[in-house]
Amino acid sequence: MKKTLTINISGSIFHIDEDAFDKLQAYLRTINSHYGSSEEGREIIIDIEARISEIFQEKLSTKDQVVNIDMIEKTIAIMGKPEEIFAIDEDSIEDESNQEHHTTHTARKKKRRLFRDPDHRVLGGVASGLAAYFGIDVVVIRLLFALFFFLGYGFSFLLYVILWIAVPKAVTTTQKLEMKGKKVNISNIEETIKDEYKEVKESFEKIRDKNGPHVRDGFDRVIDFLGTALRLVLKVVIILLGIGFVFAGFVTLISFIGSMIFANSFFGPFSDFHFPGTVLPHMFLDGSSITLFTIGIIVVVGIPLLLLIFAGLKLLFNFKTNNKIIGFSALAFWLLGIILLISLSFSQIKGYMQSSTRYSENIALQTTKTDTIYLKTTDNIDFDWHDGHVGLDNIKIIIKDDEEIVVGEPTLDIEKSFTDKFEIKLKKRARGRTNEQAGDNAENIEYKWVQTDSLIVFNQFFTLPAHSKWRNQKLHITVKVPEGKVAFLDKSMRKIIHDIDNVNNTWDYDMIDRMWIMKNEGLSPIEE
Amino acid sequence: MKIENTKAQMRKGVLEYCILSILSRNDAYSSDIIKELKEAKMIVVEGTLYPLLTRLKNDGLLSYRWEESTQGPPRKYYTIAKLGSEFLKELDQSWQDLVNAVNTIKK
Repeated sequence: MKKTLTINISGSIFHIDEDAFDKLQAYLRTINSHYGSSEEGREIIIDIEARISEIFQEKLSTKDQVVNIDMIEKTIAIMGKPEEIFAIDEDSIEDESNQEHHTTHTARKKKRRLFRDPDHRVLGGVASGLAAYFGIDVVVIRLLFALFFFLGYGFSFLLYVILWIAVPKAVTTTQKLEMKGKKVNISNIEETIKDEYKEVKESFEKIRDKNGPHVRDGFDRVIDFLGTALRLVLKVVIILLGIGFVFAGFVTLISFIGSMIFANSFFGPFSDFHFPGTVLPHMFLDGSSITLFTIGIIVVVGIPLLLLIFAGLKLLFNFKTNNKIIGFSALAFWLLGIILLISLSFSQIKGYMQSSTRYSENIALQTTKTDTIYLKTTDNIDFDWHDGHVGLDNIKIIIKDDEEIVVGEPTLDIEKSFTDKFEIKLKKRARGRTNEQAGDNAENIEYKWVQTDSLIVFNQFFTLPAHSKWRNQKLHITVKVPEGKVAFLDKSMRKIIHDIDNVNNTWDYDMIDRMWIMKNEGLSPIEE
Repeated sequence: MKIENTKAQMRKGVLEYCILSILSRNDAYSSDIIKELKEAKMIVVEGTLYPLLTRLKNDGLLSYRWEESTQGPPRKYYTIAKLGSEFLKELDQSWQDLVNAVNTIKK
């Protein structure tokens, strides 16, 4: 005697032995868990159950009215063991890991994916892939690429290369099908969002209905509602983010690379252009380092931008890539860029290691009777703020009539003279790799002032030879005034005077346009 | 890559091709398709067919309708869709190309 159970498979009733039931249940469970609870998975399971029901009906007769374990074994032999069934749809080539297995089955259902189309390719199949994705004629895409290539100085080519690298090729049948799958367009996106919205609304209504005595249930539904609401928001955010990423990344990349390349005049026609900001590296670095520096900067800034574009494209187009490889190689290149920049900085810092100062002789001024000197400043360089210029500390590079002029601002102080004569002393200072080089750099500072009787005119700027690098060049002028004698500071002197000591601590800018007398205790204003 | 993997991939592609070919002649129940495939020794176990049929249908290559059968409940009666016919044409071509290629190399 055996215990039997009654089961319903696909609408038909069967009597089944208990051990046979256990075996059948285990079999169906394995299949169930493999295909999951997606619509497609359920459909497959229903079909399989329907077939099992048919087989049972064929095998049962008036003699055998109960499904026994032998019959189950035969059925499984006909249908195939779970692993035999799964083997055929194991997309092992497409799948990177088994973890993704489940998601691919549910995701590949209808959605269209961006692939490169190897069957209609000219170069990498990017244009034909895009054409399939957007459902446009490939000629249109190719024309757009070509058009942008000529208008946009080849940046469409850059986009093409990025896509070529990032977008996978449609190799398998399923991929080729996905390439032309359900259309992705605005109304389609709208549709998905609407669907999501409906789901949110429904689950919200469910909360309202179920609220009250079923507190626990209601709570579950709130969670459910929040989940669906969050999904909707997320989807919208993802789409917006994707568009934003691609747009921002691309615009920045183009302008960035553009300015780097043009400023360094790699391109003949653009060598006339000067972008003041990008001349800055020229102030520190010499020839070969500049190119390395440019490459380093392009890599360090460019890779994150490329990744941004890539992430945006992925968000929008939902294609599969080997993120690990892309991530690691991007990181490796980026680190190389950083290392390049750091080692460049170190080698450059050496250039500033030593400091050297050169003093000029005290130059005594031959003044006639007068006890007063008049100090003025003149613009020795006709420099306008409209002219391109870039400055660092007190050194400026001025670009005028395609000539590069390197100038610096001197500082001027007034001290007491220990002789009975007016004296002027120049102190030049600069840095360099060695003490001698620092000295040479200091010597290169060129400065002029002119005396006409009691009037002394200082240049507003000192100059450096063309293409000089920034080596913290400094020029300090000391005007020495004997006790009891007077100096008048013209208004123009405000440009160069720097922290002049005086008895009542007057600010530099209030010292101009006045007479000052040197007394024993220091420089004092003459009240009029 | 494992040999089993390659074989499974080949088999899957060819199996899809065979299903489409059978249905291009006339509409059929899944049991008819299974019978033909078994005779041709394309499949050993029946279970493998159902996931394929469902996916081909979801990809828009096939469609089905419910038909009453002489015994038991109504069963799915499969028809090839327009996209399926186009796809089959492409497959015919690439199959021919493949056979030619393999023959040329193996000669």
